[in-house]
Amino acid sequence: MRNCLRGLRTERGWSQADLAERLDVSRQSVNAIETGKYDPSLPLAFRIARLFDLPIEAVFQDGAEADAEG
Amino acid sequence: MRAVVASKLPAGLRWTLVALAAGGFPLGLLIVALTWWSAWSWLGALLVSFSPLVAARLYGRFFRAQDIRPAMLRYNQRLTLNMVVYFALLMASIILHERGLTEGALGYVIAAVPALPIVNCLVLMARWLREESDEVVRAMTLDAIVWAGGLTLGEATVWGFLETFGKVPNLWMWLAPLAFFAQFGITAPLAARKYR
Repeated sequence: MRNCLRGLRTERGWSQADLAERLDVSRQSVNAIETGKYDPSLPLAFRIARLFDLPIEAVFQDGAEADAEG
Repeated sequence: MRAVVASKLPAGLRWTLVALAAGGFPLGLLIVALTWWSAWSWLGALLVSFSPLVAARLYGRFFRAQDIRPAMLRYNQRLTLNMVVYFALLMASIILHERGLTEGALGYVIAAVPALPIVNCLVLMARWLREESDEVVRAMTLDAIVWAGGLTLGEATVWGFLETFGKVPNLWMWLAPLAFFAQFGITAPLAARKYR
């Protein structure tokens, strides 16, 4: 799964620690999700999308779909 | 979440302090081996048990600016208290055994009581995972537990067969959880690398 979490975060001028605090997760989790090393659970993915006020598919894309678009 | 900032002490001093703490483990083993069943062997056992914990805490504090999650903090506090209880029970059992009070049915209870805090370590670990709300930390810890558990079972199986065929001496079964926790100390940072 791909995501644009890093871009969304930097647009708002938040550090990884800021985002981690808003989501109540560790900074390591934010980093792992941003770098694609960890795919979040659905509840966490929804929390992330809600925080940025976006639909979930605007933040996370299936790898195959992203390849087709790219 | 409490952020622990890496120390400002010179790197050489930090490494020396970590090495001194870690050195307590082999020193403790040596003391236990040389002073078996005497009062000094308790000191050795204390060093063996607490040195890795202290070394790991110092390493984390000195070299990694990291988040200490509340669930992990509670786990560390409970584990420390648990180890204090373990040593109190172990010393009590040894003293009672030395005074010849481990005969009969009560002897089974006295001999088994020090195992309870060791078993409780596994319960504390399960409780930590249940209380931890961060799913990456949970995934990392589970990876490390599976690896450490697999290694321990594998080693115990190989050793058991070697022992059956008379190739190696008998080892106490209570060494198995110690081997598990020692290996968990190695597999935990390795599992964390996967998500870095």
